[in-house]
Amino acid sequence: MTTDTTAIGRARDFEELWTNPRGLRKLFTAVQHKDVGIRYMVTAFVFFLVGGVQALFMRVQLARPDNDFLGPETYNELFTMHGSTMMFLFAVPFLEGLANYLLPLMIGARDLPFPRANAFNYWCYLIGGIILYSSYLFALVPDTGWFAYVPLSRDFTDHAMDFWLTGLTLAEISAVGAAIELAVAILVMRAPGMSLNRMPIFAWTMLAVAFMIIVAFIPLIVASTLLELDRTVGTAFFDDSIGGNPLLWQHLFWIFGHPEVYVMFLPGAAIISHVVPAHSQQKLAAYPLVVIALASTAVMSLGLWVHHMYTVGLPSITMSFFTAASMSITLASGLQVFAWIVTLWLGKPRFTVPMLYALGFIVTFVAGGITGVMVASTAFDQQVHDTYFVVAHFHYVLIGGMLFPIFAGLHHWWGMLTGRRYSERAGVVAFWLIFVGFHTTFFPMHLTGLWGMPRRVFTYPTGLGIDTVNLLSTVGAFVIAAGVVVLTVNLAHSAFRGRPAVDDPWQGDSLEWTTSSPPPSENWPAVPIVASRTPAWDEEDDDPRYDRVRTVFDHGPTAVRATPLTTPIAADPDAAVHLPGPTFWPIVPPVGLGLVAAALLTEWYILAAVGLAMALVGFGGWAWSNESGERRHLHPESAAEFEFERSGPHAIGWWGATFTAATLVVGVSTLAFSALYLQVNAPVWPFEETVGRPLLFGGIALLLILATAASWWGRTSSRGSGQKHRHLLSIAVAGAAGAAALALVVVAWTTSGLDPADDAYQSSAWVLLAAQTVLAVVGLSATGLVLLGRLRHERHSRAAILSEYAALLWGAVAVCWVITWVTTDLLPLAVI
Amino acid sequence: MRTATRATAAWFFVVGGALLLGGCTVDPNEQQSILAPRGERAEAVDGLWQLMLVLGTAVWVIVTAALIVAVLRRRRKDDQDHSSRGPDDPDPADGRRPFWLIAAAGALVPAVVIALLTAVSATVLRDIDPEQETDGPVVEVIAHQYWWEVHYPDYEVTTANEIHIPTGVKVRLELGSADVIHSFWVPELSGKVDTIPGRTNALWLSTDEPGTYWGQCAEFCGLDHALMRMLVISHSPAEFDGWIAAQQEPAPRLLEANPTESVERGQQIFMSSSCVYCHTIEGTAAQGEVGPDLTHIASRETLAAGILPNDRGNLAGWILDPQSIKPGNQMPGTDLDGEDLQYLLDYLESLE
Repeated sequence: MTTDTTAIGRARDFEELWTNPRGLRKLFTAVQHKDVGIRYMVTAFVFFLVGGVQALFMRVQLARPDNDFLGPETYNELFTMHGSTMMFLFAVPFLEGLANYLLPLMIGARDLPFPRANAFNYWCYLIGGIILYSSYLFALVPDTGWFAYVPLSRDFTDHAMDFWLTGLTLAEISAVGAAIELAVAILVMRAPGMSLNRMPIFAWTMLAVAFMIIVAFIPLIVASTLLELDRTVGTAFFDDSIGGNPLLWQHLFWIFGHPEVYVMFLPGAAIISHVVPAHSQQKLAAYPLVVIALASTAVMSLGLWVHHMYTVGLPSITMSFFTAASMSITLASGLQVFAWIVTLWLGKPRFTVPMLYALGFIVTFVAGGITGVMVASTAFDQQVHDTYFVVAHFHYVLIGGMLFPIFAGLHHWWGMLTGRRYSERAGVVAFWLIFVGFHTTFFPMHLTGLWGMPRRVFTYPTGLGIDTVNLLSTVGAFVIAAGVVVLTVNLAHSAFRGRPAVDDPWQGDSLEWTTSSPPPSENWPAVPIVASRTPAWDEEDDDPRYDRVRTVFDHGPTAVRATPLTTPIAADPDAAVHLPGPTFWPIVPPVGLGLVAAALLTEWYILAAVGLAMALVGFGGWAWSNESGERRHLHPESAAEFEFERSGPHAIGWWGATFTAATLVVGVSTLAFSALYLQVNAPVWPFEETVGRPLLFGGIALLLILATAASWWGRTSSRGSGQKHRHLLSIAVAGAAGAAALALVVVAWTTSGLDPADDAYQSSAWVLLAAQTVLAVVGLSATGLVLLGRLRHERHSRAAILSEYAALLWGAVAVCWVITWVTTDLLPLAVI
Repeated sequence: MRTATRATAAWFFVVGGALLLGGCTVDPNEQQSILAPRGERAEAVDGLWQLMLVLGTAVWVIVTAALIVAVLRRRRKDDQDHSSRGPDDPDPADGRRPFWLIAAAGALVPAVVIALLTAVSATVLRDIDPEQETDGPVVEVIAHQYWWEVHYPDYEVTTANEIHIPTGVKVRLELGSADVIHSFWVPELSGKVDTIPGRTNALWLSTDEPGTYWGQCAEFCGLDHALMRMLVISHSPAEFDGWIAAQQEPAPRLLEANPTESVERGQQIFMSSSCVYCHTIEGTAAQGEVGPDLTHIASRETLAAGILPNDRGNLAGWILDPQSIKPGNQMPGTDLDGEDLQYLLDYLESLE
């Protein structure tokens, strides 16, 4: 590659480097955050429209008492699909799509850290959604509710639940992947100078959300897997006759389900924290309090789940604790609400479309928060639980607290997303239709519930006195629908025919408004330097310590796509990251996984083999192309000060591996929790003896520690000639130890005489050992990747950092093994 | 544009507020309303609700008023914003006063309110503790898809979908499930308690005066979840004893007291058909356990778990085609000819 010495030549090279394919090829190969973000948002919006139509059908059925527009079967399918679609296929993916698009722009990065993994996540999500909706083709539509309580979803339904479990598990895997993606970007890819105290609220929020997703979505993935095993293999996790417990599902589901509420609401609130300042030309008031509020929400949200279970018969003292915790979390929301009000007071509000949605959000969300305090009270909740009062409450919180902000955000960043303008008048009309329609629909539902109407009923008798309120809700639903139609037509028309947008229509304060709308492929021809919390309002920092990064990343580097890495707290530039160009590899494994799911659903297992092979080829090809790309990327102009392959937390890979290791430990801990929960709560524990093979289990532990240590030993990259041999030796030892550990785990799994269908103890031990088998394969794949990196590159740094990541993963596998051992052998004895 | 929006916003809040207050005072036909408590437990919760409604409305009004004032307050021409401030002028948003105002209004004051509500809520929860000592009869309720089996172990009485209790005492209910999770809910008397396979949950009910209280399954339990209702019927203690005594009579004694040819033919038809596989009639060969006990079916007010009044026409319709009335329930249709059906109805209607 030649490097022109003139500035013009440099700019031309740079532009060429960042040019992407267009048209259909772009759809399947583009992996940049803006492309993936748009894909997420468009797909999620389609699901939103589908979920909305489902709601309209339900409202027509409920318009009159004893209506026979829909039968119970169709109605039950509709509310199951409406809830599942809105939660799993619209809310979380849409917000992740928005974050995908905006976050790099807000923090001044040229892309997200793992663009290909990001594309992979999107395809997993899309295929998960398609699997769920393919149930309509087979007339096997899930009908046990979005919460899928056992035993109804275990023993009393057909294949429909398998569509739900496999489809949504794929979507959740994608959510966890996206969370890791966003967290790493926020921690180490912020613009030079954007220290933590200058970080935009949206970035703080997505960091908190990523934490919640990693801790909370894993339990749902585990729970879904256990339920699928109960349904197919016959394990006993939820079968109360042999030691299982239907309440285990509820605990796992709500350990996910409650943080999920904040996973949806916090980004909504963050959008408002951007819309309010921009549209009142006033910096957000009490920034530290807002950050404290959202951080404490993230932590506290993990301790509220029991308030969904006040009627299952738990001790009063437990329930009072959760009442106090659930009520306290409103304090965090209170801080944010008053921060917005004070900001509006200090500023000069303009009644733009985003501002209307923001104001509508505040009055609606406050009402939902107040009913939230009410249902946090155990005694009151036992009356209104599973009634329309709760339906009203959570639609106030979710539509008011998340959909209004999404619409505010769409109109706020529309120019940035599309480069076009929408009709202001149509936007105002849509807002009022949606706002008035919303309150007409959902305010009466409080009364419907208080007057005795339970949720999830396909009809009601005329004697309850709820005919009028139900009719009102139906009318309101159609008003909302009219508003959504106006909004959709307005935005769709704008996207194709709208007038070009100006770059910064609102004179916004955050960094994204300093680039063009829409931004160029690389976001920032010259990487921005940040000197304040409102960078778009203030001068760039000319601090000389940023001179070097300014020079290297001004229309450069021209050899490879790259963006600087900065330290997590002070955001000092300390390394760089190589960003990939377009590739089709990330689409291959999700299609393979989709085929595996299809095979399980159709019980046509040849297809599973094909799918598995496809997934393996996909991952292999991805790794191969990755290591090929990395061959060329070290370029003299930047390598001197911005190393691409620094060890430790100066590389995105280290963070990615650490978060991945954490998800593995969270997953196995969830399994361990499940096993212990069953044993502690079983009236009669079908336990006679444990697996009890200390020699075998101890041997596996030693082998896993050896694999970890060997990988760790191989993480050096000194220039000496022995370095390559050291790497190869470390790979050989780690690989051999790992392979032996895998073999022994399989031996432990298959020869311990465990019959998973016999009782809950054997089910747990069997599943824990099966999980360890999968984990050992993960570790071996990591070591395989180190080998690939070593063989494909002359330089030592590549193999060294890969070896470090392998050590992190092997370490996690070893920790998981200890958890497994303790759970299967030591604790059962202690509890007995 | 701007003034128009202001006016619209103001109108919205006026109209919305009026609707809100109006909505709370509309009187419904309170068949199973939380707002019309008739028993000790429901009354305790109703007091808590009223406290929370007052506090909640006040909070919403204050926050909304603060928001409206913040948005619509008249700005002076010389009000500074970020573009007119110099780089070294402090932004008021970072000042101490906004900070403490937000901390106080957003967290400190609400913390006091919330502490109060938590305490009141815990007190109410203690007052309605399901494990409290009770002084009335014990009733076992087993939920099925989609009906309620009711036992009185002290009296060896079994019935379905209608729970008779005496007034003035606390009646202990022990709730179980035969299949999936259901939830027992009679809003005028008590909050709900789930019935969970492999687990017995308790609850007590008390009523001050005789009456009929409607309830309904409140946890989604499958196809006919909406059609799983029940009645609690409260009697004076003397009437309750009479009801128990009548229920303790085995069916043939009733038959002997009032023997007619058609009733006897009806009994033969019942005993020779598939009815006996699922239903019990005490004192006869019919001892099925899948469906409701029919020993005293004619004494009940409703059929099919509270969804049909118990009269001859509904009973006939139910026997012939239960699947069109309640799709997916476990009772198959029958193809009796008209004459046999009339005999069978005569028999069932004799089972008082």
